[in-house]
Amino acid sequence: MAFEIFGDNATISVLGNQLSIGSIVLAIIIMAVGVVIAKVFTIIFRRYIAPNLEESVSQTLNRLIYYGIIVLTLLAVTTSQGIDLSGLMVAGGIFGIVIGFATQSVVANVISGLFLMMERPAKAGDVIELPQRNIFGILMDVTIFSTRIKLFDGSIMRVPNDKIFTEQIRNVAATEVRRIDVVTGIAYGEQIGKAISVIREAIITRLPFVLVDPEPAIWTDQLADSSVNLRVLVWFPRNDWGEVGPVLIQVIKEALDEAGIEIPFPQRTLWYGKEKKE
Amino acid sequence: MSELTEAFSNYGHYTIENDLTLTLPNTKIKFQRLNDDKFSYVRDNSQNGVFESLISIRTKNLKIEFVPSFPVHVPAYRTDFVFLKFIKPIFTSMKSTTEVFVPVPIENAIFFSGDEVTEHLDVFSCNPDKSRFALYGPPEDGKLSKMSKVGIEYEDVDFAEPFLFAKMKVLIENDLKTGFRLGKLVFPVTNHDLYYQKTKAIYDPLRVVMKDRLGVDYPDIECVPSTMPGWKKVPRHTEKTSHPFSMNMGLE
Repeated sequence: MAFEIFGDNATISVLGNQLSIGSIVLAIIIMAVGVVIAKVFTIIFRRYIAPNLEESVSQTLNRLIYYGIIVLTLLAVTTSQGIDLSGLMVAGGIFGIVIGFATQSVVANVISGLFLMMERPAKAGDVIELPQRNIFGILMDVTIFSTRIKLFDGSIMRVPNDKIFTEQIRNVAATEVRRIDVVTGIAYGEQIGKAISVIREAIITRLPFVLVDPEPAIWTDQLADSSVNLRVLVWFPRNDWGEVGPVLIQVIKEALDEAGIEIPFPQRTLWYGKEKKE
Repeated sequence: MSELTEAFSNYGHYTIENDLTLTLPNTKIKFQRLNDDKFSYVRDNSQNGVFESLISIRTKNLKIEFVPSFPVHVPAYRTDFVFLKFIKPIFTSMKSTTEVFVPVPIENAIFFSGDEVTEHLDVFSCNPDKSRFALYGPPEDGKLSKMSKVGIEYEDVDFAEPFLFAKMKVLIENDLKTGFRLGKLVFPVTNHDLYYQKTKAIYDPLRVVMKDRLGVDYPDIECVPSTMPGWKKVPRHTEKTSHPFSMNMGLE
């Protein structure tokens, strides 16, 4: 009975090829083995390699490994059955060109996504800026098609991977500390040295997140129209901009006010020709 | 309950039936029973304002342990490293070993005790104005640390300021054929254990081993786990770390 089932008499037609039940069973066995191999590879990947990768990258690679093995298995199955795919190839080729034009950007995103995962210009949780798009936020993940960035207003921006890949990315969390620069003006009649000491003291005592080494750097930046401009540069832990940036100018202003140092308004001295003649 | 010194409260276990006041430099802590299972907690720091909390307990009385803590929580936890900048550097001659003592900053913590799980209620600094960050090394690859300017003591004398600094023995070994000057010390403080006795605290010793690396000389920094007879080990609310560290970004 069993021999009859696997005999040459029982056949079915697939793409013009006559396949015996036995060869179909063989194909099912190859497919099952392929699925098992794919599962084993993904388990090994998840256990030994994925822990060292970012979650989004590991998920993408996990899928690629699984479906890559499945596709190879399908090719092995068709080859083992002697199925002639040339007709399908021709039809598929024409169809592929049409689809290729239609999905050009999709493919570009996938390829860009893979390169971004390999290059890793930033990792999930890093604060990044795309200067050309005026996007500034926290990188959430890089998926196969797009990159998600959480902006500081709480919204989430989805950017296609090919845009990210071809543009400048500024990663402000790549080092342990960041710097912020501000310029403040004091009146021409004030002592520059005193103003610098007052500002430095105020920053160190009132802003606990500002680094004391390297200490705040302050120097005369410009003899401007109405004021002597001082440039103030302070360092802070990379994720603590919110503790320093919004209050730095306020602290400088209050310190100068308390020390009686004038921050001048724009002013212009006019000379009249008539007075000159007298 | 631990006995109290004249000026400040002692580290140790306390069982609070109704009220308890702990007096520390610039800081006063008050526990007060509100009803059968609730206490109020108030920490008044003259430099940093008031922190208040409500405590709900399962047992009849509130049991706490008041202990020194690593100086990494104020103003916020960002690093496990401490950067000690010496007021006067120390010079160690070629092929020699020396032993010095340095004050290392501490914060203070209050743990709930009595249950199997040790949880902390509060971690604070008695001198938050001096709790500041610094960078060891250049901005592009430096190490963020908590910084303190300290002096070096050559004798094992009682110099550490209670509740602000703990004492640490530092063993300096120089394997080089030349001497070297050490003006700073950077190390992962959470690799060490802390111990207390009344109002005093000490850290596990630190070993600074200057090795010859084919012309590029920098010291390895190692914790020396120790037993401290007569001292009580501080409980941890985080895992003990084992960061390997070398001071390869400058010694002065």
